[in-house]
Amino acid sequence: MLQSIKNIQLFDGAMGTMLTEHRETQGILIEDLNVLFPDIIQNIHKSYVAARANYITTNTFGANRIKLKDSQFTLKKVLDAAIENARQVTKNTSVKVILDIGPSGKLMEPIGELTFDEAYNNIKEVVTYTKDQVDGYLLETYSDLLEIKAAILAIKENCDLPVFATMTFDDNGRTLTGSTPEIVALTLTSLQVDVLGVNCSTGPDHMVEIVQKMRNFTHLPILVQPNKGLPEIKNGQVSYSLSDDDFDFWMGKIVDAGATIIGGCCGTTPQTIQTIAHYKQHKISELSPIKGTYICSSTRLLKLKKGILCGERLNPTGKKQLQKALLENDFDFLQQEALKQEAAKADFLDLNTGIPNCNESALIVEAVKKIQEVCDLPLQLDSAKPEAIEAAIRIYNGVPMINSVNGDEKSMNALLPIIAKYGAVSVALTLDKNGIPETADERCKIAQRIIDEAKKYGINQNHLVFDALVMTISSNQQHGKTTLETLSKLKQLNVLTIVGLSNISFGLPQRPYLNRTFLIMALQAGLDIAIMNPNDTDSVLMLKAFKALAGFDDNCAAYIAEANTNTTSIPQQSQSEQTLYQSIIQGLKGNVEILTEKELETRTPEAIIDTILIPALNEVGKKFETKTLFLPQLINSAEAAKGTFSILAKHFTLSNTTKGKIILATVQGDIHDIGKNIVKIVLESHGFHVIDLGKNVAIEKVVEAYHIHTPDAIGLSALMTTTVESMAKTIIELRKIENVCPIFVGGAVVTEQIAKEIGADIYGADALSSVNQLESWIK
Amino acid sequence: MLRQDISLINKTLQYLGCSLQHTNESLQTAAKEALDTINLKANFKYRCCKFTDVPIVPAFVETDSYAPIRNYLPTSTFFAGTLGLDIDKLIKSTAKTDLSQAVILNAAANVTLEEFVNQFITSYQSNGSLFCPGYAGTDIMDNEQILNCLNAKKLIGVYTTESGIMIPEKSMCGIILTNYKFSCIGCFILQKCKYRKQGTTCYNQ
Repeated sequence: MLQSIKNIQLFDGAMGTMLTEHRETQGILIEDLNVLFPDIIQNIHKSYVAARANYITTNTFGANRIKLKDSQFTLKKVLDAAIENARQVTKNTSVKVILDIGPSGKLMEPIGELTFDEAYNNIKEVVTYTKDQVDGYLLETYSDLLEIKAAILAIKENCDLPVFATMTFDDNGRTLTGSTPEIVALTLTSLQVDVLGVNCSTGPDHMVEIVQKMRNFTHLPILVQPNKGLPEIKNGQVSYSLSDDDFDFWMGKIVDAGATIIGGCCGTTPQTIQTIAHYKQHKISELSPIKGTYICSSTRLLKLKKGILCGERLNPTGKKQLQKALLENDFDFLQQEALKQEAAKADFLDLNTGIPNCNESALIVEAVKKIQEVCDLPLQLDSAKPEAIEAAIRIYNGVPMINSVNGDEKSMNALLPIIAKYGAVSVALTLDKNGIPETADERCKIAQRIIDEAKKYGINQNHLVFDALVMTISSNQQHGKTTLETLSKLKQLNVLTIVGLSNISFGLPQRPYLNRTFLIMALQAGLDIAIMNPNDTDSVLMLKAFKALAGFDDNCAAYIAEANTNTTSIPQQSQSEQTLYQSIIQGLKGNVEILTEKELETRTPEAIIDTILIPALNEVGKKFETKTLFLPQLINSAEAAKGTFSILAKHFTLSNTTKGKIILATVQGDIHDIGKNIVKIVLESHGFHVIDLGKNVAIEKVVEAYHIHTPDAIGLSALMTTTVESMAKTIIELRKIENVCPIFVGGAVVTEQIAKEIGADIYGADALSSVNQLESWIK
Repeated sequence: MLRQDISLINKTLQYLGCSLQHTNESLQTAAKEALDTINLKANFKYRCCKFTDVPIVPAFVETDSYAPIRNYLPTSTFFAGTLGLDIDKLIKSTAKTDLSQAVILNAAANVTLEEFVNQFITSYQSNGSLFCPGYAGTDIMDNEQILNCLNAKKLIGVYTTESGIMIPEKSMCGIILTNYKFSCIGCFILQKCKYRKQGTTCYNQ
């Protein structure tokens, strides 16, 4: 309905600004005014209707359970009163009543504490109370893309009313959590809101460029509600820097930039809206669909085109270390793998958590959260289980690629609705229930079938990327040729293509040669996106070389950048001049693997520990205590020693190498973990096995971990005075366990006296003193 | 952008517990590079509002713990500043692959934030100093009320957790007082203060 509007439409302006004129309302929660002063609220609505607004918004910006905790009324009473105030003035008019919903005021995980489900349920409750009384919902002033996604889903899954979704941007043109206008427009369009846009922020002048950028990434109407300039506070009064005429001038620019619905935010009044009402005469030019295929994270936008590299290292197939990490919920390993691929210039990352005997949906959700915490790259959510894909796509921050739908009716019935609902891009495998066709023509027929079926769900073919399928030439030497023919024919369908390269060489020696050669052949035949190992620098360089040679790389810039990176030699001290002992003291992490292996040629692991590792660590400790070696160097030495330990551990069982099992946690309510991580690495370097529960760990989780792991000691960390209390409570609960292990504590605000008062056994002033004390306690 | 000078490098090294006479060139280079990286990524934003302009004066200023600074409040200014979320993310992701580097970045970020705030205060108010909730026995949870007065959540993106921790982590919030001399008198951790035992104070760190 809203996509077919012909002329510019008008929203109302600020509610809070208007209320400042009513002294009797000061100091009262603004949402409570709906119940306490309905006449005032109705008069404000009335004045906006008189100003020719097509839509008025209810006075409910903070009316949700999280924000309304200080209200004297129930949430339902506030919402009912707010809607009634708006309905009173719009009856017998065509003006629509839109329920206003602001953000929760809390930051979402992983930056903050609010979970996706909490954010979702917070809005779902509002929708449940109001869906039969309003004409639509306005989500406004959001600054976190994931929070607005939760809110959009909460509305769309619980009613059929239109959703207007607007976000706020800072003077750098990004949301406070770092999303650009393009990313916001792409993500909100994918979620199929009815109108998207921008509100509040700085002033209308800054919004012109934001609207222009959004317009290139959406075919939907754009709603723009700026502040009336920048706020200034004088004598307790807020004033705004623009006049109504200035505001009108900038709104003209905003309309020219592509806005279709306009209104005002902080500082605007009915007079302001009246001033811009003349834009209602303006015809809206036809809105064109997004050109090209894009995916994004909350901070990185990626156009899918020729030569794009998808990192394959987060798929456990054939990777024992990753399988183990997933099984043990060791998400640090996943984060490190993701960051390594990002550093190796992967454009996006495949993520698959399919291992036997695990809850794949829960695992992939956790993995997505953890990777998005540290890595900016968009993800390809890869699973054979549609329910796991949907669980992951739901909490994914941005627009992901999913892997994959295929030509089997069952697969299409399960996955096409998910692709449509979330606006994802999907890999489409050119196979069906009969398996992988032998010929390129048959594979392309399946591709066409998927395109046709997807259309029925409203999915444009630019949301599908076709996998030509690669099978090893070791079993049939025609397999490579068939893939190349399929790629070539798929391009005739005007679609994007993708393949996982390394299958081609399975079962053959010297696989990199086959993989690299096949990469070039596939690119030549029509491959756009290669799923491969970005750490294989030769392959990456060959990919860039192909793009340069085939005219896809302006000024050969990407090739030159990659070539320079690859040929830059990193000066390193010659290993032959270094001993393992020196390398640990100097923290030369890169040296220890070879040097340890070399030592193993002449000594037993025990001898290396006794004669090299322990003396080196003692020397490091001495230097640290005498302040001739400092924290960053201590950490490097610890990491070098840890590297040595992990190599030695391969040569005898863990029980022989570990000095004890330690649980570490930053206590509930505290999100700082750098101190805890330092203690962890120093403990590991001294041969302790550390189970790291992370930060903000609930008391019951610490207790549960004790029962699961029966550790030799538990370490708790807190940085703030406010969270020392949480540390004390955790210790109280642990003390209820009979013969519980020693508990040691540390952190910026913890002193020896506090440690004693809250019942800890050991106070660790720093990482090294914790280790020294633990060694004597656990002996 | 901050202008880089040797004092910032030295402050970063001090944050790391380094005694300046024993630091080597590689640590100094690491500190300098970390400051450069932080400077490039930092998006320093602040909000301030004169105490007399605050629409509703927060209740915490009436509590006993604020008695020592009460006389300074009429000429004071509420303040909050932040380096932004990108810095948190940078430190977090670096910690996953190079903890040593992350520790140096963390120190450089603290120094950078303090420098931005000090520069602002110097230009804003001569003889001004920032009194942060948590000092002198005041409650760190008061941060939230100051941030609310400044509308800091919406305008510069500074949030607080239920434990009163500010997010982004590299944020500062407090009251700019004129001609105020910090003192340990009245501080609730006076008897346990580890800074005091070391012959220093929290506000001189």
